[in-house]
Amino acid sequence: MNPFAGYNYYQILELSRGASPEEIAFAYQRMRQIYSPESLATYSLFTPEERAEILAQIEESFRVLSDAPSRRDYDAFLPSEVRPPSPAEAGPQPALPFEETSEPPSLRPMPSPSSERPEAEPPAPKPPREITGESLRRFREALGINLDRMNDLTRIRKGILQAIEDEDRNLLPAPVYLKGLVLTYARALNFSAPEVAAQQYLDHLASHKS
Amino acid sequence: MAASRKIWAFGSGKGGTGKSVICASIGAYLAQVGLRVVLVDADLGGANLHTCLGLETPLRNLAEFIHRRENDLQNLLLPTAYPLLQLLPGTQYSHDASTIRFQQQRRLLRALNRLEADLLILDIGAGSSAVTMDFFLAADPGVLILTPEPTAVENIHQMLRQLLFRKLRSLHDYHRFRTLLNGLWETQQPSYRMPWDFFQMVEQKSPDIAGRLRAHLRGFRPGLIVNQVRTEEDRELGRALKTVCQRHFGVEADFLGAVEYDDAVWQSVRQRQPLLPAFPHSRPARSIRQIADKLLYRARQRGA
Repeated sequence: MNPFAGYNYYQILELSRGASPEEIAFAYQRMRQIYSPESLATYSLFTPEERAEILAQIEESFRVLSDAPSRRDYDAFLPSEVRPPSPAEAGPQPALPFEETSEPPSLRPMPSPSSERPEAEPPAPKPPREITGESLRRFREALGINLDRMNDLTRIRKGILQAIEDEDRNLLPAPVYLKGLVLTYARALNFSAPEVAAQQYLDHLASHKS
Repeated sequence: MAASRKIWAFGSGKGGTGKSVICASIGAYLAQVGLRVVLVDADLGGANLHTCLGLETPLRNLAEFIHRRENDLQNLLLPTAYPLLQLLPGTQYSHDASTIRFQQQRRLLRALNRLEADLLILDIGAGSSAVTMDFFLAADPGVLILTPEPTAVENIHQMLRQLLFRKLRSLHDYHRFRTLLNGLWETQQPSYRMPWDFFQMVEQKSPDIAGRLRAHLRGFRPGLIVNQVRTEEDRELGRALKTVCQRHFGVEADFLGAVEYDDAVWQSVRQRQPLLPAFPHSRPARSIRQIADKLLYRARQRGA
């Protein structure tokens, strides 16, 4: 089982979103110590495989957060401040919508109340069959949601939202992050199968290299 | 539990962690600052708190109450060298009391609650016998003391697991979940290592039940004290364990502080005096004072 299921990179390192580079470096060292095979606190708790998986996630968190550009990209699609999951503190975690646990864990649906979601009124515009930047834009506009509202719903910067619709490869992040962005986008528009839509978008982008 | 009465219990996964020294010192310190404190030697079968306080082996102790030769605990209290600090001596021989039955335990807890005091400090035995765990869970807070050694840490992990599941079993309608939980238990033995994984499995089966269990566990916030630290790394152990508890056990532990390894402790034990009045300026004494202040502050915050 993934010990960090539902955690984003900040939570893996026990950092707040505004952490300074020094704090990130310090937290990284601390986490490496806590989960090292010699650690007094955890040496008896994990199998070697689990430990390797945990350490890999710590490395990945540090790699992204310690590099200013990749941290910016990552921040762009993180929901606003979320508390670390804990049964003693938070309520039940929303179940992860992903099949694969290797997904970045931060791509949970936005905690926006369902009443804020665009209600499909009759006659409801139908989500596009073929997912492209253009078809996403048309569907969004058909629902009467402008980019500002979309930014509210998804917490994705408007520039990135626009880049998704324009399929502007220069502005879009690496596919692994992009998938999460499109997923969030599709979720905000109440797609019935947002994962499928996100994957179609990526496939479309890959097959139409400009 | 009466709201006006503070009950703090101190336990540990194994013996030799300095639990009694810390209990006696916290008790003596808080009595000096004006609280009416009763130190309860609830280490049924291995009592030695009287020695930490420089008293002779008491003739009458908790065994009198357990065997119903005495019904009022007030009559068993002994004065100490500190005006507001009293001792309720524990039993000396394990056959006296280490296996007291549930009924007896309830009777004892009720009687403790009736004692005239502001604060009861329970020195409960090491390990996780049923009695020990129930004392621990009845207190607010229960505090675990460990030393920075692999054996002590492993025992703390075990103890936390057992406390957690015992706490679940105390749900008044536990029988409604028993079948589901036992089923998961048996099919998923390896994951039982990590209570947090276990809760995620419950979550998958039934979010409702998982929510109930979580709500019930919210009140379980054990304190942690790391005793006999010698290095900076030792000192970090408490915070590391807090992180581990939260992430992998689903328990919000409260790291109360680290207490330094110091000859003063050994000397105070030899002199049969609590560390705190005897060596007030030693580093461990300072740390214990801070821990006591913190516990008092938390208790007042809770409005207890």
